[in-house]
Amino acid sequence: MQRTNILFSDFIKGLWQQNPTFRLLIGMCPTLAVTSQVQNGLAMGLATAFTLLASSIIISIFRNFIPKEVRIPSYIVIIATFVTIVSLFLKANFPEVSKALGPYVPLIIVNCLILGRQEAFASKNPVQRSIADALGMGIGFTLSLMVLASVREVLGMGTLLGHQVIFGNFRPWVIMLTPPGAFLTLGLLLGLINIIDKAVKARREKKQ
Amino acid sequence: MKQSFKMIFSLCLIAVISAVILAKVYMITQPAIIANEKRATENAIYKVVSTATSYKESKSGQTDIFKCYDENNKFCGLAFVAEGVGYQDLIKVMVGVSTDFNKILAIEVIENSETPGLGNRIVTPWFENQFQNLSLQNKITVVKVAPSKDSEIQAITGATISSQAVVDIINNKIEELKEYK
Repeated sequence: MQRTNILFSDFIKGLWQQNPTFRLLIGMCPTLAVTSQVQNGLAMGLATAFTLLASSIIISIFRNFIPKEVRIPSYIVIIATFVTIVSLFLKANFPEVSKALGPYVPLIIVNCLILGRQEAFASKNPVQRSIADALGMGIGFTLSLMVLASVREVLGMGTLLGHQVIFGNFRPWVIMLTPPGAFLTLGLLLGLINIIDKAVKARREKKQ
Repeated sequence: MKQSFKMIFSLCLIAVISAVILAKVYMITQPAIIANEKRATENAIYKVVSTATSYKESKSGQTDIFKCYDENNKFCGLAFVAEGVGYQDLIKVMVGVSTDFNKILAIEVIENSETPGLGNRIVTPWFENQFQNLSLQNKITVVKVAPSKDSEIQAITGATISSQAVVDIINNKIEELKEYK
């Protein structure tokens, strides 16, 4: 029971408490760049989540074999291997998505979300806990990107996943698709999440 | 000594294993990637030379020229890729021209990263269709009102630079290929 509890909290913290995008604010570059459409946000999130999970497993297994002095280059080589696999897979099976994501797929290699989790978690914890951590962080990252992308796609194009969702005399807010729109959306969502978080905490304290 | 040997050994081992895995994945995915690229080019060729059912590749300088043939195996047009700098990044356009190089049959913008909602409207049929049957006797020019001559293109409102870029890219390529005809 104790062990399941630990695994569960390792997993769940990535979704809210330590959500990589909205709470830790790491991996911002792809977050801002690819979230103009939900489809791209989802693909980027899944690609990152897969890389994170795969490298966490490998690094956790070999954590006692990799010498401390060369751990960063070792992690980077392992991460780069998985990213290249993802990149080739996308090119072969989803050429459209691969084209839309452009250079941001290879840039997953230096996404500090992945390297950060290896350094902070996978290199110090057993495999099961690292898997739970990677899954939580990966899913948290994917969901965050999709939330951001939904706001931007709906307001910027009037569509969601390519389907028209706003009808009538609606003029798309083009700015939402451009970089400033990404910053605006992120800022407003961060504010919103802080408000929710404060409200939840205040309520908890009242109960106690 | 022992410590540094261990460092070198483990890093080399990781690199070698990675290289082997990547080589294998590359070998598996390569045929599909090449097929995808070829399909994308083919689709664009058949779109800009609509009567074509087959094509042959030839070269003029650095440029690949696709000679198109219709169902009776008759030479029916040429297609080639023109590329150049747009407002933000590279724009690639597939251009179809008549056999005598006198008019444009159609164009298709195959790659661009222009501003969403403004510049990237160069991919809309409204803009691309303006190039259909455009005369190549004179250079193509961009105007801001409805075109009055058969070598004029109306710019997209709010995206004059992107519109001009597409026209320049096509003009330059045609100039370059003049000797070919």
